[in-house]
Amino acid sequence: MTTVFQVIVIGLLLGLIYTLIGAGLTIVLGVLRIVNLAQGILVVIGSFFAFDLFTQWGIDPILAVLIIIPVFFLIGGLAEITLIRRAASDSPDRAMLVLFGLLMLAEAVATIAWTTDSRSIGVGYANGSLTVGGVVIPEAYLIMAGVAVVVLGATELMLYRTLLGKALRAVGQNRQSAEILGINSARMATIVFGLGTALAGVAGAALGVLFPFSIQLDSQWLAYSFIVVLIGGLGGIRSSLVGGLALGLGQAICSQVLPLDVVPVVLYGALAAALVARGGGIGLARERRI
Amino acid sequence: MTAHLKLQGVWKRFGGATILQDVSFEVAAGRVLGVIGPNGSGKTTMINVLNGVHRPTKGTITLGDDRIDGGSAHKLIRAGISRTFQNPRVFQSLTLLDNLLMVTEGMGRSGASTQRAHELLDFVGLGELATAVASEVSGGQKKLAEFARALMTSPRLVLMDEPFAGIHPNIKEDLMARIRETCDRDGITYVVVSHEVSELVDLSDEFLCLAEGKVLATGDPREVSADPTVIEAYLGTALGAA
Ligand SMILES: Nc1ncnc2c1ncn2[C@@H]1O[C@H](COP(=O)(O)OP(=O)(O)O)[C@@H](O)[C@H]1O
Ligand SMILES: [Mg+2]
Repeated sequence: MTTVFQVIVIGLLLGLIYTLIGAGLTIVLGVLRIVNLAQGILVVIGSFFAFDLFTQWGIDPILAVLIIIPVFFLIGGLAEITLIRRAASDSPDRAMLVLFGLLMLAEAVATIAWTTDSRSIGVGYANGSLTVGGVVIPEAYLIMAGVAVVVLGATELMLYRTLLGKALRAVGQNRQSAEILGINSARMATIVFGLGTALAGVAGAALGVLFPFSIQLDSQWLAYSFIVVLIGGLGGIRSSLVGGLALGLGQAICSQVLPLDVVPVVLYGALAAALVARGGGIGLARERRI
Repeated sequence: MTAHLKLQGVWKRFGGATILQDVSFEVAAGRVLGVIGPNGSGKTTMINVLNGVHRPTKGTITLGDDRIDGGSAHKLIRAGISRTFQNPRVFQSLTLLDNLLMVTEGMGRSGASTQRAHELLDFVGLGELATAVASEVSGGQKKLAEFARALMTSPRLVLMDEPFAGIHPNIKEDLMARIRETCDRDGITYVVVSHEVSELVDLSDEFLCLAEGKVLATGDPREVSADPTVIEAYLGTALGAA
């Protein structure tokens, strides 16, 4: 019975962090209809960023998040203004192709900057744990899930409680109407891209504390973000939470009952099946408006 | 902040099709201009040109001392021009309150905006529905919410496209009274497009009839609506359609 609780706790904590990856993808997809193929590499770069901040400056990943959010927001916003906007004015699919190009470029540059070696962030709490009623909770999971909750909560408040968030959601529902009503939709697109990128960066910092990482992990994180969106649909943070927790739990359960090398086969098999079942790809993920 | 609207020689072409031809007219500040004309005569296009959805192909438009032709919609809303739509454009998953608030994004303090949004919803009789999601209210209520939203940005000029179509007669009277009230009290200038000539005669200070993109007649509402060429323009399309 303790094992069951153990698996559930790990799955849920992990799921909160997966929610971050999916939320970045969902927000960009929901507001701009663009599938951000660079989401995975942004997560990995987030991990490396946290690694460098920790090893070179001794900045704990919890605090690093405060640096990563503005820096990644700027990177995403600038990419939108300089590269993505023009393609997106043609069609969201062309924007997706541009993002694919950026993904390849980022991968190449990141390989020069950080090599393909695997790293891990050796924070003090990496190996600590709490035991509650026989269930062992790794401290790092607890702390990073806490970071995820705070960041997701702040994003949710921004989307639902502020004028900016309302305008962003209006653009997501009908961009043309929003424009006619005076919303500066170009500015909204910049903000949305910045936000999605910042969420990916935070996810990267959190995952970098939990698992060893290398640049090659980008396709795994991209696939995970797809799974979160396909399960949860396009409904903002709350939908991502459904998808993220389902993925976290699914992965924890599979890891418990299946040989480790079979787990990815099951997860990606589920992803492929979901993509086929959705008839035509992630852009058609259930249309629940943000 | 005068709101004297003036169009001089305004043309609009889409590709080869000429939709507005040499349209010129003026509306004094705080007056209501009623615009009539058969289907397809260019009424909606004229509103789209006035609020910056479309750029005029030729001609000048001024509001008070400001040139407004060629401005984009999000600039013009800040210059004091707002509008409603023939088919209401509300954001279905936002509450009515949020539908009002979203147009003030980037225009200052949100606390004051929220207060104003509540006041305006009360003003149009939707106070109780402030937190209702837009997809759950009736078509007529959506039109009222659009009207309230148009007033959110303290406009000088409000453009209304078929505000009376598809709303309950009681609400219609109310809406007309509210339009009049904001004209007389705040000096807002209105351009109101409607098929319902008799209502529009009661509401308007002046009339303009468009036919095939040209100004067919302007002047006193009763005179214009009784003008034989105007009646013929309507009957002509009615016969043509029959
Ligand atoms: N964006 C556009 N592109 C091409 N033609 C248009 C466009 N908008 C309107 N039209 C044409 O302009 C004419 C007038 O339309 P409209 O202004 O909607 O008339 P009304 O509102 O008086 O019924 C119609 O023939 C319509 O097809
Ligand atoms: Mg029309």
